[in-house]
Amino acid sequence: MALPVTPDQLIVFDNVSKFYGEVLGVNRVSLAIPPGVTSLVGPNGAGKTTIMNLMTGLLRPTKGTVRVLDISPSDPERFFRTIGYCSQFEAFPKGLSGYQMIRSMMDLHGFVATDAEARTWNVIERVGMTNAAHRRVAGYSKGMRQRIRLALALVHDPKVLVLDEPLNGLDPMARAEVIELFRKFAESGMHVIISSHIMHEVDIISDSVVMMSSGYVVAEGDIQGVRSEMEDHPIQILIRCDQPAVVAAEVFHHDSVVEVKLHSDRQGLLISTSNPDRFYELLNRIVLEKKIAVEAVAPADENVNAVYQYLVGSNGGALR
Amino acid sequence: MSGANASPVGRSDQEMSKMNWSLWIRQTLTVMKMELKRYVLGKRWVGIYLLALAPVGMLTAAVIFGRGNPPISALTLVYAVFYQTFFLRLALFLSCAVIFSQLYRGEVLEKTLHFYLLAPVRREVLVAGKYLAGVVATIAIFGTSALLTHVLVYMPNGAWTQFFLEGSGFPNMVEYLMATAMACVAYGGVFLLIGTLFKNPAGPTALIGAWEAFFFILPAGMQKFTIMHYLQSMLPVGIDMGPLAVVVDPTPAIFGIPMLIAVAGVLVWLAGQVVRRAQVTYSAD
Repeated sequence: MALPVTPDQLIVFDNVSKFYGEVLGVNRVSLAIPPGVTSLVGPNGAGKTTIMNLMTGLLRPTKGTVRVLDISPSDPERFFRTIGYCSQFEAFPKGLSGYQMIRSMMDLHGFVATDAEARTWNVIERVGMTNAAHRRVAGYSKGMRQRIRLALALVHDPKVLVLDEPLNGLDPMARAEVIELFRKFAESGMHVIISSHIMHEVDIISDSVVMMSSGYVVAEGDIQGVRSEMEDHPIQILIRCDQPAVVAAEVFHHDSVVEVKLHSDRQGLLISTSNPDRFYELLNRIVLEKKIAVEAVAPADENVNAVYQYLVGSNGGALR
Repeated sequence: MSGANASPVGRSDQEMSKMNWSLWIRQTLTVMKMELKRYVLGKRWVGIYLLALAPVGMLTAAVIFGRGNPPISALTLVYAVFYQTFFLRLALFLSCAVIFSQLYRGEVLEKTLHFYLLAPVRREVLVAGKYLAGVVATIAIFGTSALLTHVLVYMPNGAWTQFFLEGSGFPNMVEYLMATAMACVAYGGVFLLIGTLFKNPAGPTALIGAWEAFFFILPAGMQKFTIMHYLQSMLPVGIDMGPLAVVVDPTPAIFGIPMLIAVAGVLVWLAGQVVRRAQVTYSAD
């Protein structure tokens, strides 16, 4: 049996609202985010960055409270030793090199000089900035700035890593490395909070998602769980096999099957079902009885993009 | 990289809270060092250096090309007028306004405030570090200027070394330097607070400038509410302020200096309280 999750293991938003004057940032957000990779998903203006800025104490809620591992942002010495934030802010303190910036941050953390120096070079090496470390940050390219921001977020080994569009500006190789790094952090028990509007990246990285639209959280949890709660949208299942027409004919008059589409190559079909469990039982029986060679069976819309489209797209569905 | 939390040098939170004072002092000095590195050698203070060092250049030229042997008493009066009008009321006042009001506001305008606000530093400590950087920089710049101008102004007199070694030259210089340092401390506090309170500090700066520059026409009781009264009280030589001046007994330096330091301390604390409530909303600023 899994041990109960205690507040010191969660990032908790308790009925949080944030208004910029009369403009809504986020409204009535309640979240309890466990360790692992959690992605904030939504288009520009959905409130992702506001959530991240609230989570990192850069913004104060208009209403409600935010606590990270049971620490309040009003206790900065504990709070910022626990959290690392790779923000989207483009500007850096002028006149400093990448090395000087990270080293100064280490001094602010209170590390002794030798430890601070070692950690600084370790993280610089880790983000691949050794050769440019002594150059002024003002002269860095977009990708280099992103790496140095990542280094600043990582250098003190935080328990919670908050990353606002962390893959922006990175080349494909670096993206793959960084995604791998995030997975490792999550496996070690860290919280990794990522915002992204690139849905396929979210699918690769995330253990769970928080879907946002116009300042509201429209769904949260693991993507399969969120998808399975969407009653208004039948689950789509893709089947690749040698006799798709036979399968189509067999399943068509079954109650749980809503729609069947044959692929133009006659090697597969797409089925919409309101009851996937019953459908899979039916499919097993048909495959055995009709001796059908199945190449693949996979959910076709159990991904972040599809779920998000269902929730906030023109045909937005409703959660149970 | 492990996910373990990193209390500096492996200390627990309880140990950390016990060592807070030493941590705060270290953080204050780190902020101070960073600020000095960013600003002192940067281009943005060129105007301030010119304002502080222009009189040095002019007096150097006067020493090189000047003729005659003006009496010490005349030079003492010339320096007193120069110091109390151009140096204190204009150059130092305006430079403190620019430097200290930008220590915080500049971060907001350049959108770099988040760097400090994401560090495990109390915001009061951040403000204290920035203030100290400003004080160190302004005292270094204007202290040097006061020292050089005070020496240069007497050089046309043949007995200027004697005046410094045996006469009142050296004690006067110390008093001018003390007044310069106290001006930096006190105006620094004022403009640091203004920078945290106002998006555009020009208006409040102009008001305070007028209040300070014309303090001598204020009623006696109100003059005690000006920084200039205490600075003027520290100076070795008074100047004629004209027929509208209300003459007030000077406040002895033994009271004036602690008073100015205390006022600056309160202002810095207030600035810390403002920054404590600050949020990173660059677009709104």
